[in-house]
Amino acid sequence: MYLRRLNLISFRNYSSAGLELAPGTVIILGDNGAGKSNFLEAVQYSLSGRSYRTCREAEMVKKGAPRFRLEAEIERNGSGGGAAFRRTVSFEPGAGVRIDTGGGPNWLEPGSILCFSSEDLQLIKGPPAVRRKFLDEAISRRHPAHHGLVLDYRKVLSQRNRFLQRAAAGLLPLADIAPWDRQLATLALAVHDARQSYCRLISPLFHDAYKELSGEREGPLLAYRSQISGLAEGDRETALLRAMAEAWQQDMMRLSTSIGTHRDDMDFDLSGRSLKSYGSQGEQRTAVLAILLAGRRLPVACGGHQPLLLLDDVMSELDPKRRRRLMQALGSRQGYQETTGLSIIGQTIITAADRELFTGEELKAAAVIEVRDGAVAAMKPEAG
Amino acid sequence: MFPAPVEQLITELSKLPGIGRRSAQRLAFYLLGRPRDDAAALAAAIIDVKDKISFCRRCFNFTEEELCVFCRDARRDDALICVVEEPSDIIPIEKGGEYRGLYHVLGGSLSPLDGIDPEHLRIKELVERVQTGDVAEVILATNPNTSGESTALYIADLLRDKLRVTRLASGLPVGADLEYADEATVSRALMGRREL
Repeated sequence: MYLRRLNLISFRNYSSAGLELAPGTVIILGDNGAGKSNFLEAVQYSLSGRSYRTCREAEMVKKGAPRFRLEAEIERNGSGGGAAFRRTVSFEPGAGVRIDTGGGPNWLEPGSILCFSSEDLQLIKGPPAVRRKFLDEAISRRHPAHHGLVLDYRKVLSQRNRFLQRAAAGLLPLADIAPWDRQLATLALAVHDARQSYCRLISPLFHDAYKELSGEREGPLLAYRSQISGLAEGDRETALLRAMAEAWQQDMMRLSTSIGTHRDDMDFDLSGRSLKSYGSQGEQRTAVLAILLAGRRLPVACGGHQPLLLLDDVMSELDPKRRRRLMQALGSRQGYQETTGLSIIGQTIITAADRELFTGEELKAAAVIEVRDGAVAAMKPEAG
Repeated sequence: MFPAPVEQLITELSKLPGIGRRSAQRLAFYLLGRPRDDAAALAAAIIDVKDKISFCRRCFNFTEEELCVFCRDARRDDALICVVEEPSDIIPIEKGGEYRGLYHVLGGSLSPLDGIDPEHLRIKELVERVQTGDVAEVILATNPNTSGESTALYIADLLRDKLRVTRLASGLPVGADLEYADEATVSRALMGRREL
C-alpha cells in the first residue's frame, strides 16, 4: 500500500498544496518550521484519523481558516494496477469530521501506518508505563479485543485499590476483596499471555533489525518481564490468586495492588546489559528504530500488507554509518513474503532538515520533495 | 434569566437522567404552554408513584402491594431465583417469555469507587431467602461488566455450597449480523462456544 497523492487545504501552515508521491522511499526536505512534520501529520491523519502530535483536530486548522481538508489517493495494490481509492477528510470546528471514503474503508486500520518521532525514545528511556502502552497498542492492532481487556483490567484495578482503601478504613472485611482478585487474575493472565506472545513474535525481528542498523554482530534480545511469567505452569490462575491473597495485608498497608500485569515491563538485553540503564544514546536510538522496523515487518511476515512508515526527523540523530544502514534497511526486503501475492511495495516518508544527511545515491533512489513556508516548493528527483 | 419559578422547574427537571439543561428548558416551556389540568395530572402522577409504589417485601421489585406481581403469581416457579441489579432489568427477561421463576433485585452492583459495598445491596436478604425457602437454583443476571461480574462472583461464593448457582451466558445477540458485532463480544462468544 502506498500514498499516491495528497492535497492539503488550510492544514496547519499549508494554505493549499498538493503533491504526487511514489512508492518506496520519499524524502521530505525543508528548514525548521517549513512544514515537514505538518506534512507527515497530514498523511497520518488523512488515512487513520489519528495524529501523532495531538488529539484535537482544531489545532490542525490553519489560522484564520474555517476548516481543513485533506484529499488522499491510496494505491492498495503495489503493482499500481487498480485497487486505488481517493478519500477526502475535512474538519470544521463545531461541525466535526467529514469523510468521503471513495469506496475505501472509513479509516485505515491503525496498524497500517507506523509513525516515529524523536519522542519515541521514551520507549527505552521512559517509565515502564510507556512500554506497556506500546505493547498494548501494538497488540490491539493485531487483535482489537485486546484493547477491551486492557480497559477492563484498568477498571478492576482501580476498583480493587479503592477497595483496599475502604478495607484499611475498616469499612469492609479484607476477605471480601476476593471477587476483584478473581477478575483481576483472569484479566491479568489474558493480558500477560497476549503481551508475552507478541514479544516472542517480535523479538527475532527486532534482533535482526538492530544488527542491520548497528552493523554489530550481536543484537539485543527483547524480554518481557512479568510477575505472572514466574507462576508455575499448570493451574496458573490458582497460583496467581494465592499470590494475591498472600499480599492482601501488604497491599492494604500500601493501599495499592502489588501483583498483576500493571507492573510489567519490557527489557532490551545486549549481552547481559540492559539498554534502558546502560545503553548509550546511540544504542537506545538504534533500539527504538529497530523496534519500529520490526513492527513494520511483522504484518508482512504474517502475510499482511506492509504498513506505511513515517519517520519524523530521525536522520540528524544518527551517526553517518547508522544513517546509511537505516536507509538500506528501509529499502531492504528482508522478512517480506514474496509468495502471498499481497502487496509488498510499501512506502516510507522521511523528513530531514538537511540534504547532507543523505548520500547522492540515496537521494537518487528516493523521491525528494522540498517544502518551504507551507508550500511544496520543489519536487524532483535529485539529478545525478 | 427566567422568573424564579421557571428557573426552579428547569433545575428540577435537569436532575432527571438523560436530561441536560437544554432539554430541561424545552420541557419547562412545554409545560408552561399546557393547561393547568395537564400540569396537575403530571404532578399528581409523580406524587402518586412515590406514595403508592414501594419495594416488594420478598424480591425488592417495585410493587403497589406488599408483594410484587411475580411473587404473588402462584404459577411461577419459586424454586428459581433470577438475581438482577435493577427493577428495569426484569423487563427484558420478562419480554423473553422464557423465564417462569422469581426475581431478586439487588439495587445496584458492587463498586468500591462509588462506595457501594455488599451491605448496600440486598445480598443479605437474598441469602436469607435462599436459606428459608425451597430454592433449587439462583441465576446471576447482573450486567456483564466489571462491577456486575464482581457482584456475581461475590454472591456465587456465598451461595455455592447451598444450591446450584448459574450465570447468564454472554455472546452474540440473536438475529444480528456477525460482521457488526464488536470484538469483545465476538471473543467472549468464541470462548463460550458449544458443540453442536
